[in-house]
Amino acid sequence: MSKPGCEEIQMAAMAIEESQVSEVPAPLVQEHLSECAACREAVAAMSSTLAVLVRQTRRRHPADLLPAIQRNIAPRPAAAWPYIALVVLLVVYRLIELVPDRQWSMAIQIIPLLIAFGVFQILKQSPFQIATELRLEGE
Amino acid sequence: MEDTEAIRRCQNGERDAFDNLVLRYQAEAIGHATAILGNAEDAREAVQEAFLDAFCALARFDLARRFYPWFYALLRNRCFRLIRVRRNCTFVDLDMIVLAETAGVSIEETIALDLALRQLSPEDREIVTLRHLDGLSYQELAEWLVIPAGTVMSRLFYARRRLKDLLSGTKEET
Repeated sequence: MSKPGCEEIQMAAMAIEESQVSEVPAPLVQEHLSECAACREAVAAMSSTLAVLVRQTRRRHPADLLPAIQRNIAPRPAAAWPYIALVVLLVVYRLIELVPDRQWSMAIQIIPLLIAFGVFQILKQSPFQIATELRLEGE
Repeated sequence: MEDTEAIRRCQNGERDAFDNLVLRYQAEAIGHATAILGNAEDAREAVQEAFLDAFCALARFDLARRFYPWFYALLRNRCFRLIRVRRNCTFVDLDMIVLAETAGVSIEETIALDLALRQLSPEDREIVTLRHLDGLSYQELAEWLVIPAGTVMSRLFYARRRLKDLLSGTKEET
């Protein structure tokens, strides 16, 4: 291990003073401090700053977030308009089918499928999708 | 209700169980967010968003972990996102933001320290207040801030040195 510099010694000295784990062994820190007046001074100044800090307490601010959070996580009723749109489109399709002498052949037969596909896209749901978020009890 | 029990119930679809977590941690979270953002109004917004993030992510929560350090990661993401949007911290309150009046400590000393804390960067203010006002160990700081323990030591060192310089500047002025 290369010899640590002054900053590393000061960091380690602070960690040791606070009873935290230091990467530099304590005897090495003590040896450096006994020889380096600048580091001794820096550590002493830092210690007096910390002495001011540790006497303080954190300010408590009013905490009233629960109603807003409850509103945001409450389940929302599913919108009815996609289902109404589906019914309307299917009725329109049925009426078109009743028109005599139609020549639209296959095109008209895939319209119900397109409508159903569109509705599922809007709902972001698929009847064929398997839920992957399900968890077994006790998992 | 214990955190683990509340989270387990949330995971089973009982939304009301989430209230326990909000009630237990909202004040602490607002205090932490205020220390980062510099004002309580933005802090409340960030905490509310973070709780909504937590609610959405609870399904993936590992019950072996403690809730608040996990939540704190979401909270600081929200705070620093807000800082990026606002491009800075906005100190709208002329009163003390981070510190409270404490018995046995002179009010002048507390005001001077609060002013010095305001002048630190949000990252410096965060690590210094977590260490000294909440008493987190270096190991806990590493867990909460999701950084290596060695980085905690150096970040804390430089933050405290800047705070010391600010305080000595304040003392010279007075």
